[in-house]
Amino acid sequence: MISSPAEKAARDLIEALGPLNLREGANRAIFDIPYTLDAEYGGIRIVEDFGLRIAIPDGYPLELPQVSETTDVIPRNYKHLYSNGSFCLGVNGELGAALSNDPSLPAFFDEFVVSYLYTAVFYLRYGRYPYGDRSHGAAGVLEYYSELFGTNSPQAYTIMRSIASGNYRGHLPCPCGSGIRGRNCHGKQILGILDSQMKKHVMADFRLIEAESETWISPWTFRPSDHGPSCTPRIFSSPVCSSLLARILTSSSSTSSPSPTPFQFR
Amino acid sequence: MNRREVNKFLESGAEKIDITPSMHKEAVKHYNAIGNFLEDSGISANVIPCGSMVTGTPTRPLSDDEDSYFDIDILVERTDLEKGSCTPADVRKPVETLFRQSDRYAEKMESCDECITIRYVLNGKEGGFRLDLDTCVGDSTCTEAPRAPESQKHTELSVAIARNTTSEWLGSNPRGLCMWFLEKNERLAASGRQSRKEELAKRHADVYASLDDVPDMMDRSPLQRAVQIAKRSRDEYYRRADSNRVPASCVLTVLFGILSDIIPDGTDTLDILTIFINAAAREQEKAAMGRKCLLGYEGNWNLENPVYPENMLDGWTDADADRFFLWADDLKRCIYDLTAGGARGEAGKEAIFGKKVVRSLAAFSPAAASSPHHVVPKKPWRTI
Ligand SMILES: [Zn+2]
Repeated sequence: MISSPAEKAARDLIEALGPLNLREGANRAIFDIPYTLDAEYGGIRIVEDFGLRIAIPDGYPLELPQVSETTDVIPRNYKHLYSNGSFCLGVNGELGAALSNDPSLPAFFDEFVVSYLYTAVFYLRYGRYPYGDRSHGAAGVLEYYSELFGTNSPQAYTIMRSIASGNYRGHLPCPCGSGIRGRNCHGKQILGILDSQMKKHVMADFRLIEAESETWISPWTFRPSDHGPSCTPRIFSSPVCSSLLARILTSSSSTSSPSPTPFQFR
Repeated sequence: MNRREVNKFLESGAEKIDITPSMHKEAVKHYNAIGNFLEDSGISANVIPCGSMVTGTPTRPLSDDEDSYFDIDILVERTDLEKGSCTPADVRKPVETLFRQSDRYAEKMESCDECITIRYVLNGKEGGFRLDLDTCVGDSTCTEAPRAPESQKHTELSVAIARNTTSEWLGSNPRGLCMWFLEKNERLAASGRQSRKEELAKRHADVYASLDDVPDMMDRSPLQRAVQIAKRSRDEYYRRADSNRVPASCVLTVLFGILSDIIPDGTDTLDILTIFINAAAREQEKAAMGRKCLLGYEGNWNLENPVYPENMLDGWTDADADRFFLWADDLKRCIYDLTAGGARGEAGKEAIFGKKVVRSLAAFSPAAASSPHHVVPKKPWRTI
């Protein structure tokens, strides 16, 4: 029997979580499992029983696994559920980076699914996120990459664009805009992504930002210095976009010269 | 755990967060000493406790360290002054000055707008306590009587409290509220009192020389235990929720007092808590339908003080009420989790009493309790 990464992942999961109810799906293996969350963060222990459905795509680990609930502990109107009911476990690049470091599905489960379930139950009980949540869409993606690169959002965006377009050159100024040569700045991180499965996820995240920004005036062609602050309300039509754009503009106007400190989100 | 074990666990937890007999004895000694000190200095005043020490529902404040302080409310009612012929400053300032100039109290005292606080540190593991002194004069002229006829006799205990930053009196009736609650409590307390006091005398022979030494104030009926547990679980819940919109202890005490009318004789702590939780759920339903309920009517959250013309929920928003109902519902889940046992039960215990108390009650935990997974914090995200 040939052993694809997806099959190995499934076997690991069976070993970690016990006998599973296997269902065949199109291009994926689907498992239904009973799962008891027993997790603690900041001294607060949460125990809750779930029925989970885990879908492992044939393209695993390049394609990300999906997890949803067969019980109804988490209500359908919970903010961090996709419309098909699967969990919003994290930004693609974040999940992809974890799987490219360690393709073990049990490890992925312990890290992302446990954290997701803990957050959801904590939120339902106590009305807040124990360690924060990300903004939806492009803003949340940029939050993640800003943390990853230690930059502000516009800098994270230009680094992503450089990765997606394939025009990174180590002897040229770093795409983050620091003015330093790339190899002495973000070069190591960029090459690490270009040489791994991560490239695919970063490109997907970049396309997602681009797709979202097409529906409004792209901030990347918009130069804050050309406009007074008084003109900003006219440009922001959608409230989601306006908050993203507003953040980007505030961060870029305050850090137009390279800044060693990463941009902090509230 | 079966329901009898759950009840036993809840009562043991309540005892852990209760004031200890030795601390209680110290507190009585100290507020009596304050009365004598004022008398010797030419100020006539009744120095008497009120609040949770009198209602028999004190709870140790949540704290990560051992030396958390009990706050004990004390009324300093000036009997040498009358409300009609003096100002709040006349009532409070001389008392404050005396403490400030006294060798005995100057170091221990602090003054804020509401009260004068005197802090006592105790040796050992019990921490200490603070006496919060409200200087006041009697105010039996308070004419706006409360609606409930059985409460009207308590209105003569009303006082006018002197605060520091305003020349207005703060009208209140803390003693009357205590009396009202103790009357409600009596039916549920009387039958078991003798045996509970015997038990206290036996277990605290170092403090009590005989059964007669055990004060009624230290007896705890199932109703009083239920209030203590509710207060503690509230503290832990609101800490987890990171909210400071905490329902006041006197609000909980009054709610339990009102509910006591429908509690049958001989009901245990667990069932009293369940009655409270179910009542909260009914209130929430009624309020959602815009029907009159204990906690308000058509969005105006209102709980009438049974002994003073005041809305105890003044300033409550819908969000405050939602949070209150969420807490009551969470307490229900916690109690269910106790009966379920295992990891679920352990988490439920911690959610009611806090981790520290549960650790000190290790006798109730299975020897080989499983340990929880440590969460690696990951923030959820999705596309728009
Ligand atoms: Zn750089």
